[in-house]
Amino acid sequence: MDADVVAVVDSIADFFERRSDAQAIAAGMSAPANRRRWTALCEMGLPVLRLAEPDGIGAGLLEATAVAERLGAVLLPEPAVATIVLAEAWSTHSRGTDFLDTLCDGSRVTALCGFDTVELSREGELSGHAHIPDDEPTDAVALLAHDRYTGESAIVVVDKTDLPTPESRITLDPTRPTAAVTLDTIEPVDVLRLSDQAADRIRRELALLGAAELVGGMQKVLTDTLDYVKTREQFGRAIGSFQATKHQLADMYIATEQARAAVQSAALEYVAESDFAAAMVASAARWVPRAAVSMFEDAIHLHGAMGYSWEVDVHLHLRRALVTRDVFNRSKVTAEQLFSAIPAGI
Amino acid sequence: MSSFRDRLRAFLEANDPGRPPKDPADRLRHQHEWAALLVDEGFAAPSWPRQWGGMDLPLADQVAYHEAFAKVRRPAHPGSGIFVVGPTIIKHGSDEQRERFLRPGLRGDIIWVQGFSEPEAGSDLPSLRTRADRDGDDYIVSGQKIWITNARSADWLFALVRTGSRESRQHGISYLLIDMTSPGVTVRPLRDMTGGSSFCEIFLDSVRVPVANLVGEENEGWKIARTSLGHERSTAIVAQGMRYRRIIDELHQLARDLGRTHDPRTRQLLAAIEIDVRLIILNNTRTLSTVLAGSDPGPVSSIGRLMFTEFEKRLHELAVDLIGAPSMLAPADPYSVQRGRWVTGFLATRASTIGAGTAEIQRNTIAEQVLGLPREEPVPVAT
Repeated sequence: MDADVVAVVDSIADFFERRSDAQAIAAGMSAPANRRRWTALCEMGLPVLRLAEPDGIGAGLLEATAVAERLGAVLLPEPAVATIVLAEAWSTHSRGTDFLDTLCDGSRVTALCGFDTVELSREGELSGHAHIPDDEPTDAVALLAHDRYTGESAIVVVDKTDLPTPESRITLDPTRPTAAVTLDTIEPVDVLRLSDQAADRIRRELALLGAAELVGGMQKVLTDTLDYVKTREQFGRAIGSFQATKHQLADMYIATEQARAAVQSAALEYVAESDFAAAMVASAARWVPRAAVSMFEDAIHLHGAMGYSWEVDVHLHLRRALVTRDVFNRSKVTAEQLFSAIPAGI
Repeated sequence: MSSFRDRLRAFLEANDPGRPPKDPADRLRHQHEWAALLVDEGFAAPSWPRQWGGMDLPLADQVAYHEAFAKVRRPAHPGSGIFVVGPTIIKHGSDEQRERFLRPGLRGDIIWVQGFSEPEAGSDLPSLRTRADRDGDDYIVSGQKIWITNARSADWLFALVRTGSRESRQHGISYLLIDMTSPGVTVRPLRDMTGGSSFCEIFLDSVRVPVANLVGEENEGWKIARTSLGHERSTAIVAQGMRYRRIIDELHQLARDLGRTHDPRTRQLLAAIEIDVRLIILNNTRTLSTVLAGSDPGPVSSIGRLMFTEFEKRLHELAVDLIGAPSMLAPADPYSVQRGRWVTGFLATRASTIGAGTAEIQRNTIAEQVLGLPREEPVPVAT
């Protein structure tokens, strides 16, 4: 990995270690997303991670998964992964400089919501259903659209003030509350036309980095659970010295490493533009959330009654994994795609 | 026997207090009224002696009782701790304790809660540290109890306390009844991972408890705490099986409502969980028929709890997977499925293999007591 990228990964880890953000997020406040924290992360160059030097850091997708792991470990509420993907996509826009500037300096928080596809009419109006962040700092949302005019795709940016009142609120993951909205003849403030292929690339990158966030959560939960079973004593010994406990932790470690391998190898195939890339991303999107859900359940169990308390934050990781699993299920990056993408054909 | 069933059916048909009110205080009153009615009309505590408010039913009628109640929706008991402490007092308590606590507890006039677990004593309960030191006619009790259900509305706590030496483990534990209004008792709610706070911790700071509130002999509390009346657990288990039969039926209906019954994967998952619930009921029936035949069910009954707790987790995993996004909506959301019941149940049942003996403890019991496998290394004395 490139030294600059390693430095960013380390500085992000250090950022959360120095500040009390991780604890604040886990405390489950009603408004977890925080504009000041987001601005600070933007100053560190998070949004420009994948932009070419000298403006950006020049990281590849594999490096971005390492960054996403750090973000997932602390359950970052702000749309960091979405911004990393959006910034790179938008940098191809010929007249996109102003938007890109405000996106990357954090002055205008624009969340890319790429798992729903809305319709952009020939007249330039939007319709369809979308799931968007339900928090204060979000100023605008970027959606993937089917563009009636070109017959291909587009990223459309909608001002939050133009959005209708949500119909439904998904509150299961309090670190990232989501709202379901129905768009009806809404005019986007900005449009970036794309090929369908480019839109699929965005979906895949979002899914892969979303899975990488879960891997970061798995690593964090594994570390925390190890600490717990080493210090918690029952029957006069650490509960981690009992074979039944050891075996469960060994399985949790295996799940974490397999999840990481699934994500990293998908990133490598993707970067190499291999024939397997789509299948590998679909595999990771399918497998990682399931492995994470199951591993977080085991981690709760191994924390005993404390695992059932709010203050032990494994349940927050579980909540996020449940929501992610469902989002990926509904997206175009599904297991169905996996089968159609396997070159041998199943 | 049929006449008992008829009387029971007639009673349940004639008495239905309806859905519980939303307000917690109103709901408690609603539950209290129902519990009191059951005692006053002679439809409470099927296994208890009549003298103490029970029905003293033969085993077969106890089963019929639990079946009938499992089929209908009636308010839960406001202080179900009485069904744990009650049999203990009936068997080991003084006459004064029986008079004072049994009928009022059944009627819900006294809300009982259980104080066994401590922060440092969960699976290893015999290491509990809450001390009770004799001082004249009182014990002075200090320590901390945790994971107490509904402690905020509790009147009385039945607790296991250390009366022997620090190293005495189960040989130095006593069973004590503690008035929650005593000076030195502090209750603090715990926020659990569902976001609710039905659990509390209780701090005991030099609380004076009359020696008259000791149940049985000093240092005999460990054995006393394992009391149950005859085979009441085997008969009550019927209700549990029926409850889950009903929940699975509701899940089938949900799959139909969602239009998922033609999806092959859904069908496979529903079939698997159907087999699970049938096995649980069959296992319960097997235990029960042994009991009804007058013998001890022995090892078979130890399978039930483990099967059930793991089943409960799987069932909710399946439901959340089946429903998908709508299961994740806030309970009040117009598109939520059954007011978010399944995802709340999903989160809540993550505790199923933890509370009242972890799955590891259950498996150790089966491995050592049923299969006769050697115990792990002797436990070093805690320092």
